[in-house]
Amino acid sequence: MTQALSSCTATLVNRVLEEPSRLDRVIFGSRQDPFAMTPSERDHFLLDVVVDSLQHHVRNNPRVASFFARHNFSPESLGRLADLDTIPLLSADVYKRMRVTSAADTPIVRSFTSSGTSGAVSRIERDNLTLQRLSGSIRQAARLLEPWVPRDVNDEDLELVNLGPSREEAGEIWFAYIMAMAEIIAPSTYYVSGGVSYLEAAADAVMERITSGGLIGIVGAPFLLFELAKRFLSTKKRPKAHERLFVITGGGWKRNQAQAVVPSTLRAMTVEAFGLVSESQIRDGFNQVELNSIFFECDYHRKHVPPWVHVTARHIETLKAIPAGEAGLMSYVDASAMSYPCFFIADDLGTVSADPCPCGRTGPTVTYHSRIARQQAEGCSSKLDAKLTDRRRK
Amino acid sequence: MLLQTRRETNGSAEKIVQTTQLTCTSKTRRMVVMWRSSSASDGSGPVVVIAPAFCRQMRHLVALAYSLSMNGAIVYRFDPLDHIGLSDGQHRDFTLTGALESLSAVVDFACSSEQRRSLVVVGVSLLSRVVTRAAALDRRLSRLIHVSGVVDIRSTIARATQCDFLGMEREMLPNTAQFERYTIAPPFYDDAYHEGWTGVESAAADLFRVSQPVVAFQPTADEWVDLSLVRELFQSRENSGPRYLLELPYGEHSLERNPVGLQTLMKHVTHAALADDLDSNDNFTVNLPGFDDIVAASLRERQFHRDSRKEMQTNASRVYQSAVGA
Repeated sequence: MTQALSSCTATLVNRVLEEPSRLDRVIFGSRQDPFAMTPSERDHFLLDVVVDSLQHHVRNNPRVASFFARHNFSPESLGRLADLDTIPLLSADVYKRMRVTSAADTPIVRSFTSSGTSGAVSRIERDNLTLQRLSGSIRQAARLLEPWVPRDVNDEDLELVNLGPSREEAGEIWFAYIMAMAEIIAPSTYYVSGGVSYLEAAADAVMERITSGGLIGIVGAPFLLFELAKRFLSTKKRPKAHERLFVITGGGWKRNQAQAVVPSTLRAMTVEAFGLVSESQIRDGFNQVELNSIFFECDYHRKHVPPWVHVTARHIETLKAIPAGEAGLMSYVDASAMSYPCFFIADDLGTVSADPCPCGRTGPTVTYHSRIARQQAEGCSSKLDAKLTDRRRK
Repeated sequence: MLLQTRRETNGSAEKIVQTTQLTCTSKTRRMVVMWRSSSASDGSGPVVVIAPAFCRQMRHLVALAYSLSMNGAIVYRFDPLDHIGLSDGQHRDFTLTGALESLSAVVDFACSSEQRRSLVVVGVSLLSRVVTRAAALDRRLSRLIHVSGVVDIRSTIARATQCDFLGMEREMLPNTAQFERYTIAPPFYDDAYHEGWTGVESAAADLFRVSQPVVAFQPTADEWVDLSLVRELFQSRENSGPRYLLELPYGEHSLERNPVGLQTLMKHVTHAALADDLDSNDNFTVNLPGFDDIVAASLRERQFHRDSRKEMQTNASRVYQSAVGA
């Protein structure tokens, strides 16, 4: 809209600048809590943004267009929420085998790889908007961490002890990069350097900060938190952090799976080791390089899915969507990714729950059980490929 | 101190933004700390002074400063006197007249140091009132830009603090009103009334006296500023210079946590500051720092600020450089 008024001495030009997309209004909005949408609002929103996203990928990625065409699928055919389970999905293996990009006109800012826990690595290319939305997803998901991570915390009041490497050192490794994104919230000190973990120094930093009276956050993989907690539990000199410390874990146990303890055990150990007042001060987050959003736990340790992501568990053999509450292979449609198609079946076994969460937030929650073995994953991928080939033939 | 990070951006040229900490002295002989950012090697670009929002520091202006300097401007930011940040004084003594004194000192310094007769000034939120009054008094401010500009200070403070601080009787005034973790105290109240800062009428009077062009960027659903009031003031025929009101369809008063809104703002503020003619649609290409560049720069500036605070006693000249994709 342009309106120009003229008078003897003054002119006025009144113009409305670019409208943000419906998704960006929610991802970057501060007033509306995306986890507090009514179920009906949430369903409509999810359907709309997924259709927008799939149309974008069809327009900008000829491989996606032909993939959908081979499956006689069109984003316009999505009329109800239940239809989202009919979207043809990629195997997560695709990201390991080829460059998959939908960024026709926008430059790729960074390319990220998975940690390679199970051998081959996925490579995902992200453009500016995709990275911006990732940061928006983190900020919105951080609502789940209140009051331990105050929403408007001043970065001069909080210090983070990051048990992993810095963003620079993380390089292309997605897990380390996303853990280091916490530095946006507050100044961070990193305790992995040159591939070596300095947990003793991290323990000293925690003690010092608690003694000086400041607020502190610990960010790291569960196995590093486990080691740090064990270190404190083995001595009498332990911090008494009470309400002044929170812990965010992410990334799973990776190659340390043999030492893994169940989350409730790790939380109980952490409460004792750091002198916390509640297990609620310890939260886990889930993300993987192929996914552009993060799922944080609420007070009840349930991981909430934001309303721009559709998650379904699938039967491990047939790959068909299974009802909520049953364990299966996790699959995702994430509307926030622009530079690459983000609709895929992952290697994780998990359960999607549609039960209302006691925290009062709406939308599904997810629980992860294990990652399927490489051989099994390859089997699933082959089955998926075979299934897709069959569909192609039909 | 010199910090430098290099990054390849798809083979395109990169710009080195150099930020230097400087100080100047205000008319009451107090120290105002400034950061000068520039990427121009010959120092020939236009000079832009940015005044931060209330309870924000100059380091929070990193995105605008980088966007402007990457496109050739020499950018001065400052922390006002009696405010949070590096300049002299305690925050509980903050007044808008003190902020005006700080801005005047920076403008004098920048004009003298860069040998300029005019410069562009950007005021964010509450400080937009200060830059407007400064421009009414000083023709060297050749163009004004408001970002989420406040019109009715009393109403904005009441909405932001849930306390009608400026609407109270002086004797009923609480010791402080809380805004985020900072306070608004009686000196602010006294100054607002003695110096005529409060009330829409005073905002209108200041704006109408400004004959220079004023460009306002206003969120359409700003929770703290009534957009219809801004429209009314900018549309008034009592204005003595050209007015440009650009409405941002984002809901928040503060856009610092909205990277997409911020990107739109960076592009248009840079254009408004650097365009030769605001009435022509000259669509010169604005180079914007990417998301990763802004994150990296914000973290570096946070550290730069911390180091500066520790070393203020030495009054050492401080410089850092960073490279951002162009």
